[in-house]
Amino acid sequence: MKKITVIIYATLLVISGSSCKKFLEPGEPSTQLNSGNIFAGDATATGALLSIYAQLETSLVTGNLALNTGTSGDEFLVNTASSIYQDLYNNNLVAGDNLTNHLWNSYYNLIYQANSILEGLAKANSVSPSVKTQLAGEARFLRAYCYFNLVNLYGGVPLVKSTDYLVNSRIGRSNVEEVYSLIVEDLERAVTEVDKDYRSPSHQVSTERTRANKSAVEAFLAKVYLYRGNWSKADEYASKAIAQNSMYELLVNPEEVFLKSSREQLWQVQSVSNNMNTYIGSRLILKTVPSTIYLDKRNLALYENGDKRKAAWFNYFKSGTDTFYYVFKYKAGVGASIKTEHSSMLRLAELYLLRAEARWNLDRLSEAEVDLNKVRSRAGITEISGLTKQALGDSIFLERRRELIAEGGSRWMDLKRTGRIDSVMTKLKGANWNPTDALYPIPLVEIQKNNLLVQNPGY
Amino acid sequence: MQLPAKNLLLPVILVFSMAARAQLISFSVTNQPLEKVFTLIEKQSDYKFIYSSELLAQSRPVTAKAENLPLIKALELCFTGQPLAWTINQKHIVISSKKETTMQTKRLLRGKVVDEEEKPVVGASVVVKNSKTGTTTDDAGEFQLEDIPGKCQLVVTGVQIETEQVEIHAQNTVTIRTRQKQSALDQTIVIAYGSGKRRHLLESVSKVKGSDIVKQPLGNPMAALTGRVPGLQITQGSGVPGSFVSILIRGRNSLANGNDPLIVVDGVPFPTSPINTSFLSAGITSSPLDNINPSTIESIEILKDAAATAIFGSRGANGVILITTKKGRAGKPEVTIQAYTGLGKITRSIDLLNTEDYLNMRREAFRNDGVAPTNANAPDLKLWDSTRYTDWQKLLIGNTAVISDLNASVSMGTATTKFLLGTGYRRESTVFAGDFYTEKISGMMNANHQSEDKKLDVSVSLSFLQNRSVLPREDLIGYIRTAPNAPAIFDDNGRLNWANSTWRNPWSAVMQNIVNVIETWQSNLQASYKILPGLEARLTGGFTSIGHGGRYASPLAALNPANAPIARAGFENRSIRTKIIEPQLSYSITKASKHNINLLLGSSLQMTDQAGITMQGTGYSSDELLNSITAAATIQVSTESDIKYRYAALFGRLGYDYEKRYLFSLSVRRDGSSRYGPANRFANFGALGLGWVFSSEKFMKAQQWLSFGKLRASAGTTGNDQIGDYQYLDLYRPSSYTYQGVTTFSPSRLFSPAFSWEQVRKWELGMDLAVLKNRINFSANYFYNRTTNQLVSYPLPATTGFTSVLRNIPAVITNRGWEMEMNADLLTRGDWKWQSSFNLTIPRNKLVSFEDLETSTYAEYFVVGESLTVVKLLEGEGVDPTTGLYRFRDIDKDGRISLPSDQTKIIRTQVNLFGGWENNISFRKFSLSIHLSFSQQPFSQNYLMAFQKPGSMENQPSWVTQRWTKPGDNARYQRYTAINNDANLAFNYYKLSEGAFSDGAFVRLRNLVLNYQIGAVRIFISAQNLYTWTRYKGLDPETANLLPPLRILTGGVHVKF
Repeated sequence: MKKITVIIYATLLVISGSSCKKFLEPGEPSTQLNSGNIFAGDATATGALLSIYAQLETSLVTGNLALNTGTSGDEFLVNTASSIYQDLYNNNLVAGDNLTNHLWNSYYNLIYQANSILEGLAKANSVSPSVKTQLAGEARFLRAYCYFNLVNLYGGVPLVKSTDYLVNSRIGRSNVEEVYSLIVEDLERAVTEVDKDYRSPSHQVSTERTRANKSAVEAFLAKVYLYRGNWSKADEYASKAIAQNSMYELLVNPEEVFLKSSREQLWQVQSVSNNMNTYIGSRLILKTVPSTIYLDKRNLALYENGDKRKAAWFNYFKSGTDTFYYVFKYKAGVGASIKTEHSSMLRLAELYLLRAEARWNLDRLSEAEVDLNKVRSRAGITEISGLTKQALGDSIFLERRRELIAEGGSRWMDLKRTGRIDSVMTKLKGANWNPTDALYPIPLVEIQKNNLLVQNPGY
Repeated sequence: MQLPAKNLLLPVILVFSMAARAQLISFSVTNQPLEKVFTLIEKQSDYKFIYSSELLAQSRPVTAKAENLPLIKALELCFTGQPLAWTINQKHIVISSKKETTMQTKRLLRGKVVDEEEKPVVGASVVVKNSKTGTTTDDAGEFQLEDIPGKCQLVVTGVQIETEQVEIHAQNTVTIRTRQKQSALDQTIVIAYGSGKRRHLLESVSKVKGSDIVKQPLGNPMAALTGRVPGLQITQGSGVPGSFVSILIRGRNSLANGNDPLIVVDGVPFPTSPINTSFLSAGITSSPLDNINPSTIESIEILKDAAATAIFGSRGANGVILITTKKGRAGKPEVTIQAYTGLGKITRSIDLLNTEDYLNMRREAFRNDGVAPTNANAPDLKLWDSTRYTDWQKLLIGNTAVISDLNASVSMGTATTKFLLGTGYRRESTVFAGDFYTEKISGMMNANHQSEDKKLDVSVSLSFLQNRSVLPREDLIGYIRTAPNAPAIFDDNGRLNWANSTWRNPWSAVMQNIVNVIETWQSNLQASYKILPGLEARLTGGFTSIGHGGRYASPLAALNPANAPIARAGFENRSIRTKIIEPQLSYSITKASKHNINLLLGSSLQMTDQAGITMQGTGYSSDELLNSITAAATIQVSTESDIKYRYAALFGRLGYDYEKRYLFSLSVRRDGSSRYGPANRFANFGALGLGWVFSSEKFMKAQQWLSFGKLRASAGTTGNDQIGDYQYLDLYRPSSYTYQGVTTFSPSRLFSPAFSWEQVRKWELGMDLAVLKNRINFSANYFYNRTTNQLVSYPLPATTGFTSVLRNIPAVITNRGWEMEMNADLLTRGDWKWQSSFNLTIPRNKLVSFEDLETSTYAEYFVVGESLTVVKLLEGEGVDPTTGLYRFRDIDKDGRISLPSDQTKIIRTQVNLFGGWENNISFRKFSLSIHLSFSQQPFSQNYLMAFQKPGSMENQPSWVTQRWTKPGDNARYQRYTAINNDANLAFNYYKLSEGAFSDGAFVRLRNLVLNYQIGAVRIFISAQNLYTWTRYKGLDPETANLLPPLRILTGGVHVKF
């Protein structure tokens, strides 16, 4: 008995000592994949890329971009005392504001993922070459898309091009030029990498337009060149995408523009959340007294009589004597679980207006007029002709406002890039407007954590 | 066997043999001579009768029947009515006439006095009650008394034992079991892998007895430790039953995560993070320790210094709490029942505006802003009934909680085998509106067996507790600010009234509940075998399984139909299983020599597996189906986890003392933890302890006042592995939704494989004193903990893609402080007894160094040379008499208030001092216990954080009426505002100033118990949190803006037989 006990204990002591290393190797959690496995095959590598698209919707960033800038600008009014929307509307943001922090954090998280995919693909040996090229091109496209919104909201932002947090946590702001040059570099390369067809997860041709194809990259490149005032490049790339007329056309009925796989769409983000279609749709459509924001009805006055868009894209909710209008481009609000709509990211109408503006700047006025009239005639309003240059320019600008209302911050960015923002906003917001309000504040916590970041003036 | 009658006159030593009990006798006789019965008994036992024939001639014939009776009983049976008496002398039964026995009433009694552990009690006095006969026990604990009456009472008293009275009947030997006196010095203290008397310990350990825990009507044993242990800071999170209790031993060692002590229940580590994840604890984080029944606890030991905690290696950094459960005792079955019931209310409430004052405030706000109220921005003024008044605070959190608690246990056993069986039930409703409660059912069993030769000792215990709670999805305290003239809760049809979507109906929160069921199984085995004298092998093992299932429900009936809501329910299932096995060998030399050596070697292997899934179901067709996941139209898996934790260690301890006067201990541990990457998986820890019992020195013998004095010192290294699992892996997590029909993957976190152990070096100097014959015990410690290689979830700018990463940083944090503890028997006179204990802790926490703090991501949070709890604030300059708005100092002189550059005012929010004072007074059958706890915190976050700006559509504390009203006013608070931007901004800045902090010091009458003992029954009334003295501005200084702790009044009985 004694001997046996001693032996048992001695054995236990020895075993517990010697097999420690193996015992302490619990393996990986069965619910996750490590980075080596993720880039070991086409399917999982594609899954990692698709996550960025999905998060454009699930992180609410696409919807909030439109809602926040529309509130800062002249599209929405605020109903309740909800102080964060009040601050947006009054252009009275503080650096700790959650809504603008959210945009910053979300875009940088997506940029990290794009960087992580680019690094992972560079090291991957067993992802098939065609898939690898396609995924890398889309990752660059998405990174450029995020930087484009960041630079337009915050001005020059830190340029993060790797996943190394030691570098990225101590990084100062680049200037606007530098940010745009990365955007252009990424897009110019993506144009050569991304296929002309939309792709499915198994790299087959897809009828869904929920990932970027070559035309989407070209269209976005045209937009970037337009914002930079490179009119000929904007014209060149817009024309390339517009030329794909077997794929894209302006739909006669404005009601159908935002349906999924609509032929007007160059790039949509798929609705993936439960119990709703698009997040933006769920926020815009009013089924009750608005708890945050609603449409400033002065926008409705912009539309001429007979404009089909006015009937198709707007609606209202009545509560007693109060009438609250809303943008009704998306028809599915909260509670709609059958997916009929996707978020519109780039569509043909914008491309025509974009090319019209580029050509107007290149003094190709009649061509500009043709593009503008494409959009007008679809809306059911009279085509215009023979305007002075100034009047034509104003018409294009107004048409952009009418066509792209509540889409991706288009109005806010147009006001800024055309230098109109101070005059328009002073008229609307009075003493609350300050020229420094055109840029959102860098989140306070970012500056607290990285003192190389300099706050925008006025905050 | 026959002897001449005269032999009976010889003096005989009458010894009652214990073995006599074991002989079982059966016979059945009718009118038989007594001698015949004697023969029958002799055949069935090894006893022989001794008698003379003359004596027997006096006997009468016997008619009796015995079936399996013990010998004594059988003898009593056949001697009934006989003129004869009997006594047992070894193996002989001696018969005598009755007359002779009565003459022999003066006799000799031999006995032994032992303690709870069957060890002899030396030097105890044994006195026959109401006589002068008495003696003291010898080195073997034995005594001998001559000429004592046949029936009497013995009173046993001793320095180290509680006074005991025993009835003595006919027997000639007796073993008297006594309980050790709970003199602070002679308490048995449980330490890591062993125990010892406080007198001889050089570790810094505090003990709280189970009886001090159960006298408080609390469900969580940790909450019962508040103000009882120096160095242990307990903060109750909220008054919701089962809510978290923060436990901090000797301050924050870690900058970010992992400041929880290691909690070990009967050798098995117990989780310190909530069992139900935040998915099912909206607003109310739960405490895992709520799943231990306080009534099963024998004692809780708090291990603090290096000498006590280094043997726990990587998990000892934040101190260790050992929970020891009750075990069975030898002796006849002992039943204990305690039952109480009581009522609870929140300790403090906040004085809010009534309808008239509220509406005046709103009107004034709009006037100030120069804006006319509209239906949209002021439904309270324009649409709602201005005569309504609802005291939302009273309605939502002002109800009375009913608490019922019942515990019963049976302890029984012999010197070799002991059992304890127990069961408990507790139900506690809440102060919330609605039907919310927690209910616990528990059971436990403990069995212990020791072999006859005392070499093998095996103990098994098993306990079970089911904790079922039904609580609201959010703390209803968030709704007490609802406007006092808000509409009726229900409309005419009995449905929730949303008044055209003009308000958030608080009853919506009442109707959305969370049901959690947590089942905790704990089992463990402790076996030891004495291989050779001094050499003992021990094996402890345990298995704890915690299962959790729960769901929340948001029924359609609770949601505003105007928002086109959908009914939804969430489900969570989780399990945590811990297995541990710890083989140990110990060797001790305690021979006649003065050198005592104790050696312990052991190893520990632990596996903890956690698995969990959370799911959401939406689109239910009926509110009645919300308990079903299958009834949901859409099911979404929110999170899924599978976590395996592995932990292995080798440890050893060498203890040496010389005459129990010079004490020395060395402990070492080598730890491996799966939480670290392969390169950093192992680390070594160790400690050295020294002790000197200077009162045993010759030069101290002469004096009388100091009865005991000891100096202690220890130093060592411990570690902290509370960092979560798999942090060193670069992982991608599948999302719960698909894109283009396939699963997507996103990175879980930043990749950071190279982090290593965080180390806490601990030093301590301590002194234990006892004066006036141990009547006053005093302990004082000075501790100094220094943490280096801070391993933290390091905040990162979002530009890195995430907001934090796990990483070591070169910062040094120290925690130092004084701890004092005093126990005094102030009075023991006649029927009066007064015992008092006091403890006090003065902690200091400091960030000593932080290389490049100014350029680091921590620059705005910490200041070198200050405590970790500093807050940087704007400097308020009161209310501008002209504008009526708060003003702040423009430090950077840029002409405006800018963050963070104007946040330069540093305030320290730490607790500077805390402790408790308890008095126990007894008089005859009454006893009274009063416990006060106190905490001094100069700056504590006040009500302001929970309130909107005065003038907005929410109720306000009544003191906001001291506001600015017109130019020239020197007011305390700025003007009311509904929608003015400047005023809104000024108010938001005010929240970042000293205005958001109040003096958080408080003294609380934590517990008061009055007992009345009648025989085996004790009747008691108990009050918890009876009164709080504080200047805190807000609800309660302990819970800040969460539900205040409850003031509980209970009455109950305690029966022991």
